[in-house]
Amino acid sequence: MQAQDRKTVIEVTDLEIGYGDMIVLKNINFKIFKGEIFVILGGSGCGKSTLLKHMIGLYEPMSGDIVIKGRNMADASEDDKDEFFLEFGVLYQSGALFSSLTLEENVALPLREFTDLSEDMISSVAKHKLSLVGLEGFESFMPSEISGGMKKRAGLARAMALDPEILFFDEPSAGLDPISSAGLDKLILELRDTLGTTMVIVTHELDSIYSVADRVVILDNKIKGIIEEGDPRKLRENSRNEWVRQFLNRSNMRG
Amino acid sequence: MPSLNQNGRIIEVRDLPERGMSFQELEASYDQIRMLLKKDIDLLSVDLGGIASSNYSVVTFLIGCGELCSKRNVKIELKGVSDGVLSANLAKLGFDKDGRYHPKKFRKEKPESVFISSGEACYKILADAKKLLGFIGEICNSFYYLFRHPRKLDLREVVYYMDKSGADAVPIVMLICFLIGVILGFQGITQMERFGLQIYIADLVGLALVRELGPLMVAMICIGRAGSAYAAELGTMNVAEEIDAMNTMGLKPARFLVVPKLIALAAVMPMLVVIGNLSGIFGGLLISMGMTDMNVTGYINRTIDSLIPANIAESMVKSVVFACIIAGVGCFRGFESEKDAKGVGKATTSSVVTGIFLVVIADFFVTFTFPQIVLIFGIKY
Repeated sequence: MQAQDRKTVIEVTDLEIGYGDMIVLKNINFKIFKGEIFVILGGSGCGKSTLLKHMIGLYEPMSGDIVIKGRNMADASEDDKDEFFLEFGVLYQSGALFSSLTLEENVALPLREFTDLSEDMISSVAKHKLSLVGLEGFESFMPSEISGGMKKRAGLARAMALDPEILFFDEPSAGLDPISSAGLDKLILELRDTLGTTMVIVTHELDSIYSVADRVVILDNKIKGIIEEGDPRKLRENSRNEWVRQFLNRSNMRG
Repeated sequence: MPSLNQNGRIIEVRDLPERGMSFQELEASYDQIRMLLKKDIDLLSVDLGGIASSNYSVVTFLIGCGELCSKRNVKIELKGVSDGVLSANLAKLGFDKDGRYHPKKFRKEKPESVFISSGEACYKILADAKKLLGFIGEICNSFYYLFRHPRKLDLREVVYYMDKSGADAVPIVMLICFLIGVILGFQGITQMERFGLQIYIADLVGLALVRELGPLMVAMICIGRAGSAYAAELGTMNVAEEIDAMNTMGLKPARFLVVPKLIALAAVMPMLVVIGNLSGIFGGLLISMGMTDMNVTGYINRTIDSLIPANIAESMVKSVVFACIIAGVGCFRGFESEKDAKGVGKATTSSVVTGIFLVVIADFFVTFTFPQIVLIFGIKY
């Protein structure tokens, strides 16, 4: 991967985040390049979901910059943030589908809101997005009528509705069986290869990292920051940090 | 079972089982030790040979022994600790090298000073008020947006909530207001009979209901039915990250989730109040026909005579104001609920409490300012 030659999509510099007086992470610096699958990895409670929520603008960082496609989200006002939201899609842990709308309406909602397409067009785009994630025939189902894995895929279809250049994933494999989880990984790779979407994935699921990740940052709650950064396959063997090697190798020991 | 021997002024405990001890065994051993400790004993000596740190029941047993000994001022000696982790754990638990057991006391929270707690409470109220102001601003913003783009309003949602919060509430509103009318009539008649003023009971029931009790009772019903439902609904959406999703999709939650409910409730509550007022007046009619010699026409005529259009306007103004408060508070509490099941429960409760509080406050202000306002239009109230 010649990541350095490519365009930087997200740049995080000197980020410090936390709740109230409590600092969760500090000195966070990394760059994410176009078309890359970037994984934020760490044990439970190290603040990786919190980091993601700051990157998608749900929380205000204590200090530091989050530059997405050349514009700083950290000091954007609430109104300016709306423009950022069109740049990316987010897949939430549980899918976060709107429970009062059918799957098709869920996917159609952003299209109806932010495009001038006709109703027919919106409906066919929504159907197409749902078929991309393998949910043909489920357009008129309510979110309560489908399984957890299907909700996640429908959530992904909705996140992709406006063809964003960046997709964020909050623990995509949490609560999925190994086969569904592998299916989702395959889908992520396919989407990257066909659409060139930049993907930012937060997870602690080691098995899926080796199949999808181009680069990882590993967070640690002792130093409250990034402990290691790079290609997970290489880090597994030659990370200078013993804890990182153990962490990355445990998936193999488990089989 | 461990074996216990008394050796002069020493109790020796040996053969602690490596597999651990059951609760029955623990209790039985404690009883034995208690019996032995009644005599003059200086030392309890426990042989811990071969016991691993993972043997929690033995550790439990030692804590029990330590407590018994410290009560009787008997020393406790732990012998043959071969496991390094175990000895470290025992030290942490409060067994010192001199054979004393100092149980770890849990630090008691110091009672906070009144100044700190009242200051914190004030800060919380102010922070709440600030958030509420921001929320009101967002709603106004959404209304302005919808005023410019009326097609963006989801009428389906509005109709859905009109049905849920309005049509479904009609039976309970009729029943409650009917009973209020009956009660008011009865209370009024028993007092006014003494002065021969039963003829004015229609005025009393009509005015009290239309000006005050109708809107207030309907508001209470709507707080319980609609406001709490809105809080629970939005709270659950918050738990399921639906509101986060809406935010990061650039969709304004205030516009999609609050405005339809607000419009729906503001539209149906005046209707509910009219229904409630009519059933209350009907209740008053029935009770006064039963208790006095008034007839139907007389009662209705007196009611119509006593009410002026401004009374009905007051009823309507109150119902719309209350509706906005109820829907707003319900949604506000739902949005700020914590992201767990308990949080949703708390949000629902506080939506009801805050709702009642704000409705009564608003009632106070409307009741006192309304006559002044209608005076501007030259209507004497």
